[in-house]
Amino acid sequence: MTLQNFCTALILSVGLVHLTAADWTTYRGDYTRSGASTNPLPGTLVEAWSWTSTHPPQPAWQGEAKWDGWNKVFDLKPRQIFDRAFHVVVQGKRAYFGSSADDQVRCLDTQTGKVLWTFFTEGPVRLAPTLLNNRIFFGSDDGCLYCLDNLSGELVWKVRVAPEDRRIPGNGRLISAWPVRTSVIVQEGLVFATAGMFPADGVHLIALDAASGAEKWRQIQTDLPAQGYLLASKTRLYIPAGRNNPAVCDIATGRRTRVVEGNGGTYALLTDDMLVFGPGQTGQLGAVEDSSSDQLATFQGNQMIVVGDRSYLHSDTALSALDRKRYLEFARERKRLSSRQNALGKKLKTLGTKPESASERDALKSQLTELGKGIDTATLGMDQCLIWKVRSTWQECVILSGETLIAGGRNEVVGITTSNGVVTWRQPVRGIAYGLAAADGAVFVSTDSGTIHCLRPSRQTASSSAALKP
Amino acid sequence: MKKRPLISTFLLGLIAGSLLLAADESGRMGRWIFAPEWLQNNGLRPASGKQPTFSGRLNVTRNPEPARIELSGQDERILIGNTSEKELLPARDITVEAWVRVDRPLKLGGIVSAVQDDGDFERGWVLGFVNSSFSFALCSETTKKLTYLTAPTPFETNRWYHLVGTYDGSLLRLYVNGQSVASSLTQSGAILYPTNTPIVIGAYQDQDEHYRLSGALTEVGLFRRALAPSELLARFDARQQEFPEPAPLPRFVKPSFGPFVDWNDRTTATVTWETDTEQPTQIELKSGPKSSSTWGDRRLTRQHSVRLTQLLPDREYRYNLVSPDQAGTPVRSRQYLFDTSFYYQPLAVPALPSLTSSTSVTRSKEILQTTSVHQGYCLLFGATNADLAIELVRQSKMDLILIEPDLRRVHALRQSLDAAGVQGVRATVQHTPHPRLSIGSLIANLIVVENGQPPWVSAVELHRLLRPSGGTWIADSANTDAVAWSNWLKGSPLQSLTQGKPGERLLVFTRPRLPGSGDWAHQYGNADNSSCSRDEWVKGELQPAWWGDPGPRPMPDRGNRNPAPLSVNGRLFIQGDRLLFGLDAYNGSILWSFSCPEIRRANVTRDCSNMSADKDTLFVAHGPFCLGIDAQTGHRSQRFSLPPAIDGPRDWGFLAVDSGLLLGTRTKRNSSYLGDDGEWYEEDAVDQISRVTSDLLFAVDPLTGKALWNYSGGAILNSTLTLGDGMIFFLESRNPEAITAPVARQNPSILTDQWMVALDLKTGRKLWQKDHDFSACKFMTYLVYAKNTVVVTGTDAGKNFHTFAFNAPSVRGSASTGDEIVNSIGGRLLWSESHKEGKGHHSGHLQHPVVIGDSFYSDQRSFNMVTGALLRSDLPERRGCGVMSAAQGAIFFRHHFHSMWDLDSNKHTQFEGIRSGCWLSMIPAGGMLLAPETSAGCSCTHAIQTSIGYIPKSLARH
Repeated sequence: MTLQNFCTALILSVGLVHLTAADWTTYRGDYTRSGASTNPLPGTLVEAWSWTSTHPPQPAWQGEAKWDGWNKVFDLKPRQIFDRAFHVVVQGKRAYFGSSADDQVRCLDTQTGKVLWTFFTEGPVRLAPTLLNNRIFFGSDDGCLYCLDNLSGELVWKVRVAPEDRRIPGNGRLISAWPVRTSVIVQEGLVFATAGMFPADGVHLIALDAASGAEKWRQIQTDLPAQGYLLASKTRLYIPAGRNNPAVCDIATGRRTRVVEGNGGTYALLTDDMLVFGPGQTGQLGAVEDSSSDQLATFQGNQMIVVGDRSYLHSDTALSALDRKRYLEFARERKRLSSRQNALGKKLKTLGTKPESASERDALKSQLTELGKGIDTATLGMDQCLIWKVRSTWQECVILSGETLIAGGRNEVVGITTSNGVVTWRQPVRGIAYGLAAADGAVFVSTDSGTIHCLRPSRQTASSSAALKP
Repeated sequence: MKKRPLISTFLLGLIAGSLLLAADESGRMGRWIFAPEWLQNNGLRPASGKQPTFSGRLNVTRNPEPARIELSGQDERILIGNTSEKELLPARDITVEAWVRVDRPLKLGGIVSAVQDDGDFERGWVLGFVNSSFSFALCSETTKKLTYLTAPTPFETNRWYHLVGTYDGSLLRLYVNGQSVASSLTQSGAILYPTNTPIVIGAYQDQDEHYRLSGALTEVGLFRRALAPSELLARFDARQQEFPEPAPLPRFVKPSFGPFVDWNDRTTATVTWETDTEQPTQIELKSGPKSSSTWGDRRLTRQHSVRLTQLLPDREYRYNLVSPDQAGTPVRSRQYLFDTSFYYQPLAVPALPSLTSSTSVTRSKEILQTTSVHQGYCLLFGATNADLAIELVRQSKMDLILIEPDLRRVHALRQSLDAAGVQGVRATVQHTPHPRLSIGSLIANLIVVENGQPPWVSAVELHRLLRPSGGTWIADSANTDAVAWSNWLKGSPLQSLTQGKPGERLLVFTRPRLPGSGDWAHQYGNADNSSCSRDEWVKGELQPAWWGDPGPRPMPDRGNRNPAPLSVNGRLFIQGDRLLFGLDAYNGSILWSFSCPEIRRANVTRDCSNMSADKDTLFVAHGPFCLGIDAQTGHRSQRFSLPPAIDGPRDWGFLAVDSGLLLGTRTKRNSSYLGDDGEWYEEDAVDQISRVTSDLLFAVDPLTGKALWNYSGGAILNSTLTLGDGMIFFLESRNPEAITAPVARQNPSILTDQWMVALDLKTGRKLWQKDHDFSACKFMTYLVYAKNTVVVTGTDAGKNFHTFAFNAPSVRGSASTGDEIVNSIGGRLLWSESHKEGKGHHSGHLQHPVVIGDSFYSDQRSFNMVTGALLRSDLPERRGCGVMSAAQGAIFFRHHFHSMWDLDSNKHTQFEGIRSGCWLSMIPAGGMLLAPETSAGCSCTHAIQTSIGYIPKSLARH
């Protein structure tokens, strides 16, 4: 082990990422992708600086089909897009992001927006880097993982995750046949990452020593790709699979434990006891409990933030606050009743229409009717868990910073008070805001035009706020 | 309704509305009037009740009267609220009222709904229609079941009706035009509502199903009381004058040619079209409900061209072509869609101050002129600096990879590319000191050696990278000696220089076609319909060679049995949803694309494709024309016209290019299927299995357009036209009813008296004809040729395959003696076979056969083509609804995912995560397996939707 690697080992063996109020060291703040920060943002935010790329982000994929003709479903949600903006991570006074346009990772001064250093890879960098102490980790479409010194931008190590170095045209660029299309997680001194698009060629999930890049274990998926931001708990890794559903693996070995059920998508959130992911075919988040694969509940929405017993649900048209604990109690009851209903329904079918089973049929029908009432009651209960709901046109992203929800949409970002859903400030941005990060007393907005806006509390309004018309 | 003059109907409507408001507002809970004056903030201001939420296209108009919202049945949604909002809904007594026009019946149509119907759990109510009968359904707490009232008389489409459902706690009634047409006493007590279901106008929507209304609404009302019959009659009488009878069919102007939309740059596009007579040029362009603009000029012309500027990216623009009629009244075309997210050109190089040397500008120009390569991937070796790389990118549409062995130079080169604004998106530097490069085989369109030195990698290695059928290597050898170059070239295919020789300044090598590779020039591979390209490479183990656009968004729905992609001479042609694409088959680069909203065909199972291709041209049927499109540039360089018909307009039907001829057929206008309603064409229904027929078969010279010969006899079944060994075969119905039918899409029951006809391809001379009973081929009729055998196959109503093989001798000797022999044995039945289809689902009964050599593969079996001997009945399982395609050594199909059956090893492999669509879309050609994305709209969660090219590992190592 070199001295440099030894130092890195010391730095990285500290353990889990602990989010401070000031830092935003990975996509959506932490490995549960909570999108929540304790960072208070008083008053109105205004632009402190902005930085714009020569070329806008180049997402790997275009949207879904215009419709599902057979089922007559319209407005299908994109389920394999995760890179429509240069998502920012922040540590101290430095902001970092990768570029799918010019293959570089950049470090900016959070106070001025000045570029402090850049680092070139040999392919698009589609996902936000991960920071830990003085290191920055990221993958590239060139099939490699990189670890840099985050102050200097100097390379510490580079590891090819792809099983071989084969470059072919992929999504319009000459890239590795095994591009890194998930984010990087660094936890307990290990780096977790994937590479590979096509299961038939093998999609590689690896754990590396964070200090040296030495490989600890490698698993190969042959049924699902890996696309989107990885999530992690202390014991598990969650691997989004594009249009398909996330796979769950043992973090110690990488062995698959299950694939959850749902309707696919690259957005995912890990709460204490469940995985929420979507957007499915039509903008639905499915919630799957830790112990099972099938869905407990679904929510019409694109993103969710969970804080204590409350959750904030963000859809194409509305932003709402829910009493999450009660909602889940009703959802569990409804699921229990629905399971029973399905079982009795099947039993009823097996009885057929024979006269001798008439009484049993009647009894089953009666039970089914009662179950139906129970399901209705539970559903009504779920509906009554709404705390507030406001109309929203900021449908692309939402995070929580202190007591403020920040939501992004076309050409605008807004701040919304968590207690009542009232919009307290608005700020124009260049393009559609797909990415938000809150750190260093600021919000960093990433748009599809390739612009990073840094918004900070204005001096005039930092001590007061006023409601605006939603 | 009686026809009334449309005098000031707006005023009448206002007066009538006001009177009604005054007269019977008791119990009113909601009134939604769909008229322009009620629009506000992209939504509708309710006359009473809750403001609805709109999504989709909002087309509220009173041009012509009556004022109404037009609903296409595709993406509109008018949401009032949710059944959990109990204040929005009547508890027991109810009246739901609508003035409605239905344009398309549905199995479950909704006009206003607050309903959930899960079989055992039925709740709420819906005013709507079941097929062609108006209906009102309601569920009360007593029965917990919906009672459906339906009108005894079917409604007429394109006609206005006053439709009302009432319930007073016991009596459920349905009124049409003020008259009670159905009633029931089954329900009693309060209405039982679902707890969480949308309340919508213009659709039937519950938590599971969503059926949108195709038609129009002028007004919808909701009351918490059951209006009396007399009130409803009065309401009908008061307003019926407002509604013309029947609603006038919209008049559409259809251009005689086009329109086409071609990109000029990211924000500018040109729309071109032609009209039969001289007209002013005018386009109405919309990018939203309130964003409309008019483009064009008043100059009279037949050839119209409009340059649209300042187009925003990722927007759906809708446009109408506008022409005045004889009275000068503007008449619009149907509305066309132009989606600016479908932009596939390379990113423009920013206009930064030029830092490159003048020498690099000149050398770049010389390289591009010498090689004529301007698109795809360029690899640059021996760069002295980044100047030539930057200039090659600036002057072409290529993406460039600069290969650099010296790590110390890499960073500086990247910084130069970055400063020029081309780093990443257009040019990159790959660091590799190794003699074996990491780049995949066959991907390079151009390889340039800049510094005059033989590079550190071998000539064999560079040849591996060159794309067949035109990939070009060029070196400037001025700075070194001939011996060095001779030594470097020695033993490699590059040695066969196509320009220059060692010692001369420019050395050029262009890679020829890959020996043993095949083409996919027609719907089923070749014009013999064998579904086999005879490509000798595509088998064994495959791996991705490229992937990317087009993705699912520009493609038609997967289920419509769409035309197959084609691939000839290293290019791949894809027909999107009214977009055409030309790609480089070896690296997926999109060479060209354009929007062509009048080019579309579906259900090729009962018709034929509208595309075929030869070495340099893609031919596409478009109305009465066949376009010849330059395969490399997408330029619409040729136009062939149909032979005229005396009894009405015609469209170009079948087309094929073979033996230096362009074959075409003439079919009655608007007979093709379009697949715009998400059809799957799977069932035994007349509107799905009707065959598209032609009344004329002809040949033209594709170079000059000169007509060579015509044939007309009966109604030719387009799906049977087959070419092979200098002959053309088809089935035709000689039933006079079929021949004279006004539309050429015909019920199989009319296509009687079928004859198989064989013509000489060069002259059109009839070789032989035989009648045969093919009535068993109900679902479809296919015809395949190989080995002097013509095979007809189809399935009957019970999904039994019936296959008939006929002798098809080649013409030999003189015309007179040859004809005699051919006539005597041509069309003789060789063998026939029948069996129940083996798959049992997903188009098992529609499978198109594959012929490889002597083997005829159909359904789950294979037979000897000539003798009919059963060879095997254990073909691999194929779950998906697509059909098979083949190379010489493998068969391709959709199982769960893209799948291959290797015939040498009998091994079945799948490419997990990627699916094809419901017809033929995996084509082996040019040594590659090409699979454009065709699963668009699939509700399944297969993980990846992409176009992809697979390369055999044997070729990747070659």
